[in-house]
Amino acid sequence: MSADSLSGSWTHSYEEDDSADVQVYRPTHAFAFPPSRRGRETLEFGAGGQMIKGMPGPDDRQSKTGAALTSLGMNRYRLDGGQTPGRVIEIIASEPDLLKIRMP
Amino acid sequence: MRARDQIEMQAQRYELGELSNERTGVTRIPVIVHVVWNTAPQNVSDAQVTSQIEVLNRDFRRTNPDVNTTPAPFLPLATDSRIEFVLASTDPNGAATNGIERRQTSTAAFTANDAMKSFGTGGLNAWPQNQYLNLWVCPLAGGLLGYAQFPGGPAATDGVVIQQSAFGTVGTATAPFNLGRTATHEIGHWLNLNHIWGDDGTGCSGTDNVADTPNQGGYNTGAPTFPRVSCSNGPNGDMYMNYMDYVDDRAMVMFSAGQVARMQACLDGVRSSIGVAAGANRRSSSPVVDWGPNRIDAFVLGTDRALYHKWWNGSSWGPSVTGYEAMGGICTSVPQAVSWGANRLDVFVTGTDSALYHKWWNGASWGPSVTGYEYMGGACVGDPRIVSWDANRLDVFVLGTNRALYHKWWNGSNWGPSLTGYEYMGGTCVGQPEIVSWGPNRLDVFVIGTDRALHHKWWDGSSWGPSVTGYERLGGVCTSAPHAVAWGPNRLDVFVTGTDGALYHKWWDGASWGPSLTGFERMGGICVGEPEVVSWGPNRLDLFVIGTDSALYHKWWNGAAWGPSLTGYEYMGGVCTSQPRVTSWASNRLDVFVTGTDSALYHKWWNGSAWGPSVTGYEYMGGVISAFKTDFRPEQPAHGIDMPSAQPTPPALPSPVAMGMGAS
Repeated sequence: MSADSLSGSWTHSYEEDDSADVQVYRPTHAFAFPPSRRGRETLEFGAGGQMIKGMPGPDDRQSKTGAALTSLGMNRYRLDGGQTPGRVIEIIASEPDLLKIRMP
Repeated sequence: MRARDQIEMQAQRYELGELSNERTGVTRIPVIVHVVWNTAPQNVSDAQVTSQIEVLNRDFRRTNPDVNTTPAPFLPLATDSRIEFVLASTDPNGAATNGIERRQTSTAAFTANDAMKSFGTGGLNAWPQNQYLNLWVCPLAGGLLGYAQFPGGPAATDGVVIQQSAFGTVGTATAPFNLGRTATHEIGHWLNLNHIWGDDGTGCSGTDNVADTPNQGGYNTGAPTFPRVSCSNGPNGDMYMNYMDYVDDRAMVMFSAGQVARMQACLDGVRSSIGVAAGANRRSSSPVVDWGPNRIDAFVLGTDRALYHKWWNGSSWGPSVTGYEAMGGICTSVPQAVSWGANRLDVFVTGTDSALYHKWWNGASWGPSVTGYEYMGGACVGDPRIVSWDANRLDVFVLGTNRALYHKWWNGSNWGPSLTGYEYMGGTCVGQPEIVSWGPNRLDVFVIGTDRALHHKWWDGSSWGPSVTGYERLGGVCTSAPHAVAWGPNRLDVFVTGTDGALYHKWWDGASWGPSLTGFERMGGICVGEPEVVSWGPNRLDLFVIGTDSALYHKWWNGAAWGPSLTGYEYMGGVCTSQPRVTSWASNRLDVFVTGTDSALYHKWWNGSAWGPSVTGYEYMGGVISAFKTDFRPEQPAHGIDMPSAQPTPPALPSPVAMGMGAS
């Protein structure tokens, strides 16, 4: 699985998280997310392994930071740049309507 | 970020007490609601908008009933922010508006990218952010409830955005976000409040820059139970019931004192141009006053001419619905009360010696005693009139036996010119003076002269105009005392009845008198007695008169037109034996009091959507009241509350007695 196979905008469906470090994402525009005062993180995947992460900000608006994904094999990717450079994430499941990511 | 840094430094100086609030009263902020909808249900109703404004006015004034669910250790911190909100009545071009604009958009759901804030991207443009709070209501994607923009950001996107299903309390509002608290939270941000946990994830190092909110780990959700301890903040734990946490609507109930200091710093600083001082526009004294939201104090005379008092405390009438607190005295004027602050009342009457007497409620007890009075000298004709243009400030006006106007004042520490002395202000007045203050250190006095024309004088902060003893003639042949109100700075509306019994109106718009210096706008009707006028918001007037059938009639100015028409009146039933007395303790709230043929007090109210108990019905409030209207005269029998006929001449005044005013 290459970084290019990840695309589109995904939003954290935190209610479905398996555990503290495994996060479930759903398609931002196709999934009916329940209303939530706690804002939801978003991941937008672009060409060339670019990832933009949106975090709920202090005014409840998203603050976005970009990072580059470098494939390490075994569905693992290293984040270069962004807020946590060097962090390694693992794509546990990638389906049209589901993205499950281990973020240790 | 330099602007944000400066805002933060200023906020911290307020928080530390190095700077104090310049806005000492209540600030009322005009709101423009931009409804941007895709599907028809998202086009939220005017009623849903109104329900949101009502929530804001409760939450920011600490009059939300659920504030009492605040756990005891935090309850003393729950603070009135002294901020109110009102739908804009004037658009940026000066035209009338209801404060709501609407547009259908092809965008199914917006994200937090501000597209709803621009016409070119499917939304509606912001109104000038230095005058209005812009509030966008729209569908938001991803379950987002809303978001804000901190002060100091771009003007074109300044304001708050609220998910339509989390807006207000009716219509599309959906649990658990159906109590309007999303807007309370976002407007908190707009007034420079941070999330209560400090926006540092779940760490204990972040701060909300407010000292009286406990250090807290991460955000809370749902409806936690007390205590919820994090960051070693026991035993009381997180202030999770704060509007700036992430709990459900039903679980957030308060702002802290430190948060209020930050919001007021924002209003004095970066948002200094917005809002009007709601508390600065003071009416003349009345037997019925409110010192705060959901509070009413009514003063009447009984058949023994003693003073009696009853009050509404937000949940019930004291001492009972039909009961009264006896306050002593033998009074010869209608009691006149004003309030210069929360839980403060000053009441003035004249005694059988025609001298002025004063008593006051200081929040804890009556001074000089429950049934005692402070003697203030003078020989007064008719009712004293009092206005307070600031905290701990009183200006008292009376007519002397020579029918000239006299003035005395309380400056916070002393009575001027002396406890029992008066300043002579000239004139020969018939009827009662009316005083209104449209701002700090500003007084406008209206009297009727012996020519029955309306006359005006004013205090501009440094001197009396046109002179200490002079008056500006404003024309007319008046058959009632003038009644005036100021709905905004440098705005005056004056009402009198004419020789045909009709109501007449003139106004000062800040530059000139309308319709002309000596002209009046005729407003129809055949009025018995004196009109009553109140204003519950900018560019809003409500008028009440008694008709020849002794029923109550109502008309109103909504910012654009007179309702039900320029010369028409809404019939409100009743057989009234006093002039109506009306007070408004909040936007879109009216409380009307009259006496009936049984001399008991009767009450009706407008709650923002309907008249209670009904359009023509009244709540019985007991008592046998001998004085509740302006023209009570001691030589009349105790039943002298019979309505005056619509006689074209002003009521006769008591003949002068030898003793002049105390100024001599």
